[in-house]
Amino acid sequence: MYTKKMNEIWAVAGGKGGTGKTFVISQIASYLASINKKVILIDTDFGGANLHSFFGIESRKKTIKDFYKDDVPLESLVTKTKIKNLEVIPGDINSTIFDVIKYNKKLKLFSHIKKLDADYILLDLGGGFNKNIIDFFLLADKMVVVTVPEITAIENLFQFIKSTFFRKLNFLLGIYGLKDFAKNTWENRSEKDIVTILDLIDYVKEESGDIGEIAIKELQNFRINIILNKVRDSSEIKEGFSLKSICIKLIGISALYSGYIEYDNHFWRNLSLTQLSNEINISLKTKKDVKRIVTNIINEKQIAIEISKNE
Amino acid sequence: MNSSEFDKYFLTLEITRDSTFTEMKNSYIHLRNLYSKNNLSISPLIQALSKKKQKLIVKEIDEAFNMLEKYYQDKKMENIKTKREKIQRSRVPTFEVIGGEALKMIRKVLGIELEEIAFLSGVPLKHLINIELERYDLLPPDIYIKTFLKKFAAQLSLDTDKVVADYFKRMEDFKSGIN
Repeated sequence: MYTKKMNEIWAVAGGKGGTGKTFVISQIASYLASINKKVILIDTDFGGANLHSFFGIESRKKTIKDFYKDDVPLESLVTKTKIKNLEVIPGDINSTIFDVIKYNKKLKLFSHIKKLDADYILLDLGGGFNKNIIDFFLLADKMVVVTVPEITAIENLFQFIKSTFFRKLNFLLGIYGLKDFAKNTWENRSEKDIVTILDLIDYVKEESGDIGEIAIKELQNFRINIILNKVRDSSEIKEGFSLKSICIKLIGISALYSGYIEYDNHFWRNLSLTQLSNEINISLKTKKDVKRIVTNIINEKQIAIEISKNE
Repeated sequence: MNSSEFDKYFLTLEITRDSTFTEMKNSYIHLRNLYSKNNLSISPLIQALSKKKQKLIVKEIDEAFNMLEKYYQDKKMENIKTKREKIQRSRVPTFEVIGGEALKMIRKVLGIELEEIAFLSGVPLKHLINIELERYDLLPPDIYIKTFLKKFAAQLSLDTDKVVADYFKRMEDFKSGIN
């Protein structure tokens, strides 16, 4: 029997604007395309869409908005780029339609995305914490986050991961008839000596017995792949390990540090959107960094920490 | 300790089983620093934890390091052992026909005492000695010789069927030579 091969959906979120997320995702897509994988990049950056600029697509007659508004088939929105194997579905800058997406609409979009003919579907999610972003993130096969080594950005991303996990926890407990249990417990956390999400999980386990245990078991495949962008030195590389660690020890999730991209002074200084679409401007070092990241994400591996002797 | 019992320590140090010793140590140094010194930029997030909780995390990290240090040492010893065995095996001469003398030579190269083989195989020492020295007249009936040879050969990681066939051939040749 002929079975159509399934695509794998990677959702890339950043928590905060200005982390270079769209640059990173475009490089990931380009690398995957270069190793002969068919890639479709979908710009779901509600209101802040700029993916088209990275691939020099000028006219944006077709955008993801058309799928919602006019029920245009998703596959007809797929637009070719200059790069072989790489196609995009552009987002819409002015759309506000995403503010009111119902959960079943999101599921519908996802079922259509799953049917697209590609090896990898990359979702460029917007910044911020809105429920659309969180839900798209949770529905993906692989959850990828991009941040920069600045404490505000890392704090912001940590909050994003926490919110995402919390939503998933609530959702699962809801399925098992414990709707709002986690939410109510969290709201009264100070009375119960709960500080971290991990404490909350322990509390849920204790109080709800077997049911909580089952729900929590399903959380075990909740895994975040971390990418650090614009890294300048070895101490900044380590911020990624620190972020990974607090995800594991403070939230209790599985996290992998997929890699980092070194800050390319030349590239960012000469940044303009027309140049972005020109592959020549991407340094070899950046390409190597991206290759390592993609390989790690595919194989569920991570980079190892290096510590020099004088530390 | 069962090797899967180390899983939680790998998890605590946020590494995987294929990590090297240096990677394990580096991860330990970083985590120890992160949760005890509060001098990294990410520290404000950790300070939200109670002092008690922080101490508990540090304790777990220390424990994981101590356990894994032993784990890697054992693994290293094991590796050295298998490496040594491999080298010894490569020195084992090859024989067209394996008789008592050949068995003895192979055993010597592998550095195994007959007593050890007797202990591990359950074959009485005197029979092993007689097998090596080819004192055919002192050996038990054929059916026993066959079993003993198989056990002996297995201890030396040799092809048991070949050893039995070769040994019997030599023995029969010898006996027919006398007659």
